[in-house]
Amino acid sequence: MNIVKYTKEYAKLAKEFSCGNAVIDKFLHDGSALDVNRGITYVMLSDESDCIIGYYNIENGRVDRIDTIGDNDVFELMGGAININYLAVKNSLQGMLIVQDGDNKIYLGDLLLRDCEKRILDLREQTGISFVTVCSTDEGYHLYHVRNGYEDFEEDMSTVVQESDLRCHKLYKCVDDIVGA
Amino acid sequence: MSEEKKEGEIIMNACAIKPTLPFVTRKNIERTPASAENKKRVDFMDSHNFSFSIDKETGSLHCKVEKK
Repeated sequence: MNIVKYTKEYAKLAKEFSCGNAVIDKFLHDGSALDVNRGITYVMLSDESDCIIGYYNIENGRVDRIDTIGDNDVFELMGGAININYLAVKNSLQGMLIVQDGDNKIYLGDLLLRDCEKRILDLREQTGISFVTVCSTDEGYHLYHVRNGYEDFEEDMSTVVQESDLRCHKLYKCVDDIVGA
Repeated sequence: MSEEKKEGEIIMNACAIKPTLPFVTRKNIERTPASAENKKRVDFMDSHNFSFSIDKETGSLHCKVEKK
């Protein structure tokens, strides 16, 4: 499997990538994916490196706990996190069954996410990370929540923060719960 | 389009998008150990090599899966 750090040499291939979500596509198309201040991007390439099959971008983050003391909201760090900023599979390849092992079906999204999680386990050896956080689109929710154990962050998030109109699910997983941790 | 493929396309979109606001919570965060199904799937992925090539004419994906 050919998953490498995204660099300028793949920019031409990036123009041909689309996952069906304009925001996620734009991140790859407009050069943002090359900006280290916006995380590090990894692309899954075909063996001949002539097509971007999928990509993900990860960045350091944190999870905070908020307590209300009197009239004040107090933020306390719960732990360091790696946020999966973006993860997507090429539109034409979504939903393609790669292999079936008994009842287990494996798709490209599974492979991308597993590579991402293994990278996070490596990073934990170098820096303190307690959580993986991800904001999943409605369509991605099944992969993260049902298949890979990511939990909804908080049901009543709307009382704490306001999100855009895009329907998304804030999810987390403890790094200790990644298989192989 | 078969129902299975249609369902797969809906549920395996895999998209994640960066939120505009931070991850904050008023609750304690609980651990959720991996399910048996999840472990089995991960074990399979870790024990096999996957290779992909794209047919330039049709755009279709050819994949090869081999045990390590």
